[in-house]
Amino acid sequence: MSAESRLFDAIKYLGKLTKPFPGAECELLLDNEIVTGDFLILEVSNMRFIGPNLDLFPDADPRDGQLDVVWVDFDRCKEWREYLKALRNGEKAEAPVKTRRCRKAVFRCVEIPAHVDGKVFLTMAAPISIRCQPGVLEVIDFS
Amino acid sequence: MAATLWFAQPLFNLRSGGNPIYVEPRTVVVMLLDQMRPVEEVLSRFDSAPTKRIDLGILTNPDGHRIFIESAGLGLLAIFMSEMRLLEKKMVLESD
Repeated sequence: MSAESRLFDAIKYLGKLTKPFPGAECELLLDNEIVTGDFLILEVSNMRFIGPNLDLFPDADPRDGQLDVVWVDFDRCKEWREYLKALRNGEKAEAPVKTRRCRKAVFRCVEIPAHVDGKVFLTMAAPISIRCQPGVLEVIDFS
Repeated sequence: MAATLWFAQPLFNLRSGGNPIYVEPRTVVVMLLDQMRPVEEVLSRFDSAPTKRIDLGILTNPDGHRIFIESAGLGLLAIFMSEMRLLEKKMVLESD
């Protein structure tokens, strides 16, 4: 199976998982801004791409000393599935996300699955605080 | 993406003698799509490729600290990662 077809299947599967997901009630503190709601996806990133190559952070800069926070409100499930469908069809589409850039994020959530890079936790004790440590990792740039 | 970390791990001790080395995820993603230069070519540039410094994320909760390079999150994508891992394991078992 080619990488493209694996990616296609992964996006399709993500769409399939979207339907039964009940949403996650959460309260966020992004620097000084409070955001509350039911979320489908809630991610804090240093990088541009996430999951099955989703370009949810097009302006992400891993060297800016800030975190990029992106979320999809639960009431936008339908648009999210349409976005995934468009990706599968090779169409350009805009993800129904909201974004913020901050230095520190604090989550107070109900018990829902979480991940830190590739490590998944079925539940993670709250409150969860995330901060950025600027420029501490040296990487080799082959690009 | 797990693949990124998988790729980073073998590189860990090759050049730095213990200092963390990491490959930009975009590069690895391109490699997964078979559009990147051959591994041999990349490795031939190992000593001459430029380095740069990037940020790390630090997650703290009542259980302690965790460091991340790419992202941390809650909800659907965490479930997706977990499910994909299970599917991969199942596929490996079936192929054996």
